[in-house]
Amino acid sequence: MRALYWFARMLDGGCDPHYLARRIVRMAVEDIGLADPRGQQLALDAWQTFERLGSPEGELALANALVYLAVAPKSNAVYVAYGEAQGRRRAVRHARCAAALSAMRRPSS
Amino acid sequence: MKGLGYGEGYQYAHDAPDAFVKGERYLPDEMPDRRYYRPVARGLEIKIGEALARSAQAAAKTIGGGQVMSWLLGGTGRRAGKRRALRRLSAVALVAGRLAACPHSRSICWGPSPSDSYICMLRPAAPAPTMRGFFG
Repeated sequence: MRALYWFARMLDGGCDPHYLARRIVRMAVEDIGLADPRGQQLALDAWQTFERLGSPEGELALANALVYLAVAPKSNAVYVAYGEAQGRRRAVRHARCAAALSAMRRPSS
Repeated sequence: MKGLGYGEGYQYAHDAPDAFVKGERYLPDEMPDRRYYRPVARGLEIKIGEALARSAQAAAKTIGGGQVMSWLLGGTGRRAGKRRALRRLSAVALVAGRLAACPHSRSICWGPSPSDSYICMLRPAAPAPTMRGFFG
């Protein structure tokens, strides 16, 4: 389980566990997505458990979430879809701006 | 960071079939593969163990000869060299020894301790699951 190796290595190197908790939730949201929506709940719960329990046992909650996410099925479908929707929205806005600008530049008479 | 060669050769897992990059180690070159997590046959870990066995089988099945050769010869990393190739060869010899040593006919057998493990691929691949993931 490579994820556990890097988790242990980062903590050993002095990394703030809060940062890792944030990255684990990010992983659940972006890389697991709706292929397993429970990943997000578990990651957030692990973060909360860590905050309440503190080190060192609290880190075990993060490790639990990490292993679960590592094994869970992966999907970035919503991540991709959201990106496309944002791009489309931006394109529409730019087109309207361009139309408005060219209308303003047009001589009135 | 990019100018220093960080992230060179990175493959985005979601672009690979089944979101699984074949032949990627995700470990420092000098570090041997080692299994830390051995799920028990109780509760949800039954399913997790099955999922891990499936992905290990997929990894063993999908690494092609060309990939193995390029990996053996030092890969495409920026620190490709003779010493690394030698290290890799010895790692391969170790795995080959483990393969030969497996007395079972299970898809993956682990010895009594993590360092005493052997990998066995005698068993034909399990039928593909109908759904990705271990909740079915």
